Amino acid sequence: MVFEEILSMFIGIFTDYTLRYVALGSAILGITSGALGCFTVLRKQSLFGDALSHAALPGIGLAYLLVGTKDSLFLMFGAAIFAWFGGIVTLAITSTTRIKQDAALGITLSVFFGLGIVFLTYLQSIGGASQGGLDRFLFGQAAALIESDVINLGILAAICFAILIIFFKEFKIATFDSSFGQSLGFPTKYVNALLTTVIVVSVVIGLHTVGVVLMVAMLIAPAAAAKQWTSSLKSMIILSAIFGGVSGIVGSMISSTSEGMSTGPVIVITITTILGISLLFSPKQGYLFQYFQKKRQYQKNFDQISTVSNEVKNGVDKKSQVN
Amino acid sequence: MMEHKSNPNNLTEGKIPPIEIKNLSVTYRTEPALWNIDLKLPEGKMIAIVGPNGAGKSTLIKTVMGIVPITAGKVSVYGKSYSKQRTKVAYVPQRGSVDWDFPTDALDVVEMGLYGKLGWLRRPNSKTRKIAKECLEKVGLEDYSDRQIGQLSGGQQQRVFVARALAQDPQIYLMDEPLNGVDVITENTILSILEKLRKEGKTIVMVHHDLQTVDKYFNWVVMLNRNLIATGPIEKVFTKENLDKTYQEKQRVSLR
Amino acid sequence: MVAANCASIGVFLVLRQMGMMTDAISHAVLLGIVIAVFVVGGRETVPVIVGGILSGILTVSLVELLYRSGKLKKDSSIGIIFPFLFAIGVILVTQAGDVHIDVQHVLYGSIEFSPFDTLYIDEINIGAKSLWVLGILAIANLSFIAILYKELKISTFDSSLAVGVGLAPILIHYLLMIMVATTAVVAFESVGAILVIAFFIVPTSAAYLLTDRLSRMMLLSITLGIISAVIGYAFAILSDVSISGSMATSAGIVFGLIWVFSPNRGLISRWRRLSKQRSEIDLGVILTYIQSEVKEGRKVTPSNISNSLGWTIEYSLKLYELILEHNLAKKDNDGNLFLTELGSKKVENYTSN
Repeated sequence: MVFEEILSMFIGIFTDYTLRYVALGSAILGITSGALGCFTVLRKQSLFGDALSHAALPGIGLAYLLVGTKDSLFLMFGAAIFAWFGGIVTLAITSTTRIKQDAALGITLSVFFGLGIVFLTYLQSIGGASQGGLDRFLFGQAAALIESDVINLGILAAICFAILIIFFKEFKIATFDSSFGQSLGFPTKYVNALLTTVIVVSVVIGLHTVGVVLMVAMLIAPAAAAKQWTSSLKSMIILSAIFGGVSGIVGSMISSTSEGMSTGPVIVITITTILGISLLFSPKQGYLFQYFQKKRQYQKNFDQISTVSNEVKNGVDKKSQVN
Repeated sequence: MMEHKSNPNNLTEGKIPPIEIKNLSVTYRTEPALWNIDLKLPEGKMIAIVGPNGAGKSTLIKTVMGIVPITAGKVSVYGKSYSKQRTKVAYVPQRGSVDWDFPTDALDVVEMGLYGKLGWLRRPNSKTRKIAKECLEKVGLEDYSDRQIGQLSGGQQQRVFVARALAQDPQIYLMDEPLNGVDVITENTILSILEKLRKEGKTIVMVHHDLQTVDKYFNWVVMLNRNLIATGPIEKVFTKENLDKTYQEKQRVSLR
Repeated sequence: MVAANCASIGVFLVLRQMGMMTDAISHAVLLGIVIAVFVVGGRETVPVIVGGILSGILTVSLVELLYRSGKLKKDSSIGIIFPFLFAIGVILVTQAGDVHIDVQHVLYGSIEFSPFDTLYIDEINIGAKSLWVLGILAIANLSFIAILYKELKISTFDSSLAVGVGLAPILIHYLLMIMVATTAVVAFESVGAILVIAFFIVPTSAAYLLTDRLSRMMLLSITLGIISAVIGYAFAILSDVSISGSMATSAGIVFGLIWVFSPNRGLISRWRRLSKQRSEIDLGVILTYIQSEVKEGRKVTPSNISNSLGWTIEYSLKLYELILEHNLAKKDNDGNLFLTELGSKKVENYTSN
């Protein structure tokens, strides 16, 4: 029964007009945030994404207040500016006071979110029902996506990917070994600023489908899952994008089956499930594959281990001589 | 010590030194890290930078590459500013400065050494891959090229860093404690590679912590404790008197 | 009340660098609350609190499990666990029609309705229910801190010392987390998940910029919390916006003001201090330079200074005149600069090792 339902749903992607855009929008979100989330995870800035997405909320409210349309491009622009500003405030707090990063993140996300709520409720009080469409940004409502929204999302995502591909080498070295990168003449400051901008854009894309509250999971979970499977940055990014995209589609499909269900939570549960599977079964540290790999590579591993242990032993010998 | 035969690349006294530092002062926030340093480093030498913790050893080499902002003074590399001479310098950072959990393999890290020559926008290719492989071979890690870097031993990680510097093919090597806590194989491999490079006329500047081995491995020394205590050939400068001066209790400058 | 509650515990959270853990817990308690409502079938206070505490503990232990396994970093673990639990909570809420929790109120509360939810004992109205609950909680929190003050202090600043003197920092850690969860659950109804964080962290951080003493910091953060709550409340009533949203905003404004104007750690005093230290250091640099040049028998002019030190000529000239003015150096008969005793002393400060 359930299977049939799912099957008809996937047929629906190709036939049903609205469903197609919903799925497409969610996929775009998943792919971009999956790809760029890799960098937030590797820079140990996972929760930075949380502060960014919460900080975007007042931007949406203010943009609507000023422009008066629900055109997604304006709203996204406002969101991006506030997200950026929130990021800067967080960095400024940590660099000019003795407040640590976690508290600084907490300050930014809660205060900006509070401000956002103030804007939204203000809109509610002056405009009545016209605000209705805005609080879908809290948990995301992919079902409300229309063609022009999806086109906008697609263009933004394309820009993100173009930048990611062009500056891949620079992003990589600034993330892995920033002082070495600087010695080669790639100024860490500018590379980081560019990278943060791209991440902000991917957060903004996600606001439509996942919402500000759960966006952080879309940045972290696909990347963390992908990291379990590979030891190359390139394949980690590709894999993470796939995980994100798949969970976007699956999540929006499931949520569209029942009335009034927000897309965000479903997508988040889907991607967390993928992560759980990755943690258990990945070849690197997963339990199942480890067993097979041990059998297959036993001889090879043994040789390598013995050379390493010889080196270590020699090192110990040398140290004891010195002493 | 080992005065080698003159080499076409080897500029002698009076020529432009590989690194020249004039009146250099660097401060971290309010704390002076380096104070009025005047220094000329000769070409084709193994140069040790020694001094107690917090003496500004790492800061000195970072300053040369413009990683740390200068408060006052000038640094030049072969007579010009570093930004014009980037390709002549390779930097080997401390092993602890990077996240070894990063998803990348040994070969990939070595290839990063070539990013500087590629410049912005251009991407690594089969040629850079080939050079990286050769450099990995030189440090004896050709069998480990596809290992995730976190699965290498400490010494092997350090050798990967040295291979990355080799890939840059520079005139000057600036190394931050590359022999700290490594095994014998690694120490010997690194030293023999560096000795070969030195004979080719390259200059090697190394922050070194083990005072026992300074006169064995190096032929030039920079003794540093925020101020420059002494610099010159080992046999002249590396004396007990200078060591005492370098390592005596540091008096903090109080600024309020 | 909420403000005071959160601020008192918040002190330890900020000092223990657990700000984001708080974030996680206050989101995750939703799941516990919802499940408790399902099980009991109503919104009785006690089961709801128990549910919240359990889910709080669940969050903390899941996060620790994940990052102890070595597969994920701590921040990533937090950022995965709490959206997951929160997402489950949200879905349960939206899918079960008979649970009277509004998803938006989960996030930003509805403090405006809390006075109407009154409590009756023997059919006598004894006042707003949430006020009572919060009052009890405040007493519980304060007595928790009062009893364990010493233990909390030690384990916050030096957990290995705490083990050494026979305290159990892990136990204290979990106790603190339980208090966080309880406070979060109770505050949930009135202010919502995210604004709980605002009250936990923002006033405390502001107090942290004003004082060094733990006890004073606690008092200050409670005061600041109440002040921002009152201002926020007034503003919200005046302009008809969400009360908790405006409370968080005013907490942010209070923090911002303190950040800029705090006498010792504020941006302005920091900037002043830095620029003073900057010129102090530059003065030292220039004097040291003059001394070494004079020793070598070279002449010192402003243009020499700017050349050798890499400063602009204007700046060199300014410092040059400053030195002469303060009698740190003088010119001899040939117009050559030399250091006075005062100047030499200053140099010695920097060069003596």
